[in-house]
Amino acid sequence: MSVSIRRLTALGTTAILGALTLAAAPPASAWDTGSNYTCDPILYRIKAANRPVFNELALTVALSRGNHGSVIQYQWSGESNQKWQVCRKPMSDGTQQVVFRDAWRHWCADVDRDGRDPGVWLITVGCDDNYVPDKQKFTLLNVPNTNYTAIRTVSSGKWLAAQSFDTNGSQVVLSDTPDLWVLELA
Amino acid sequence: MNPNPTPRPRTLLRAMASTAAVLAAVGSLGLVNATGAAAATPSAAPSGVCNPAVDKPVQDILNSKVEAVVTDFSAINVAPGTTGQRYQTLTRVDTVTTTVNRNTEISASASFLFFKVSATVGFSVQTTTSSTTTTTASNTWNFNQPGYYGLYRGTQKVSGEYVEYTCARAGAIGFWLNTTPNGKGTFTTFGYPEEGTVSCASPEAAGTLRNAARQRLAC
Repeated sequence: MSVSIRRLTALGTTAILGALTLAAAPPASAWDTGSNYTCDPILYRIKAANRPVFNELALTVALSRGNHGSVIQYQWSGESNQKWQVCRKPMSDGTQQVVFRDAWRHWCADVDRDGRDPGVWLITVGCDDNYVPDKQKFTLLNVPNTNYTAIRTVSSGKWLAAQSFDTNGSQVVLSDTPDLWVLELA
Repeated sequence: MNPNPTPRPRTLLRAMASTAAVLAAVGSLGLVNATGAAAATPSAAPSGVCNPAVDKPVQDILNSKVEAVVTDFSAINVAPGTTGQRYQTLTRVDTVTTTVNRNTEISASASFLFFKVSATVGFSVQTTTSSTTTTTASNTWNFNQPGYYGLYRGTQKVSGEYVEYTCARAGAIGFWLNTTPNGKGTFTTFGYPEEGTVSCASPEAAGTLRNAARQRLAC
């Protein structure tokens, strides 16, 4: 178990960006933190549900100036900033909480300002291997008889949704009503 | 890789709808029995496809229980020769507070839930953040007969369970999803206050607030 504590800011410099943009996705591995989250041994793409095959939009760590490090929905091209590691922790009531780590920098998905208000961005921040704050925890809620999943924040109970569901590059924000996503092997 | 988009505002669904629509939707739910306990017959849960641009969240009352609660009380003995007006402040003996999932801050959508509760039980209930402790029970009473009286203030407490379904967007369509935290939620609210007097000489009907007050008298 790693004991290093990495508190990194969500925004990096453009120079660093250029060097990292197309880094190959690292192999998935178990990540057992001090908070007892265990990661699936595969990487996922998390795509918006019910999109045409030729225009699939996946959760992507934005790289451009202005929203760098935040999460958008973007046309799938298999880049590392579009792949996610899913780490899970079973709860005593039979549910589970999950943490999403991007495969590019291994940063954790995080909701700005604890996600209290609708419209708050989903961002990525450096993970702390020994402590997972509520704003980085999510629950998954499946639609029966489908592979569609709604993603809810633990910190506020709000849902992940695209600011404009049919727009490539739309910011992913917190909403009172959920968008549906599909988690599948990347 | 990312063209740095200019986001367009997402159209958020409003949880609130008109009271009239709510009452129309749930008007047939309430089944109040003789003891004051109410059991709601859940309406058909929405399922399948919905329209996320139109369909609002739907709340369904799974069950509800109504119980008479005395919140303030005083016993008073009016001896012969002491009849007349008395100003009396009652002693707080119980409290009822509006809650949703044990949270006492009632949001707009939770208020919407309470409108449905009201339609279910058949009487008006508090729909905002409320507690029976917000006012002091003081009043002037006129006793024209000697006797042993109970002065009370109380209310009908309503508690139960509910589920909420939300239309979750999948492209241009949506799917109904039970979005209640942990799958099922709880609520507590209460009706308007009732004040009055009871006495040992007059039995009261079981299950009523008056009977609950009379039981506090040492008859």
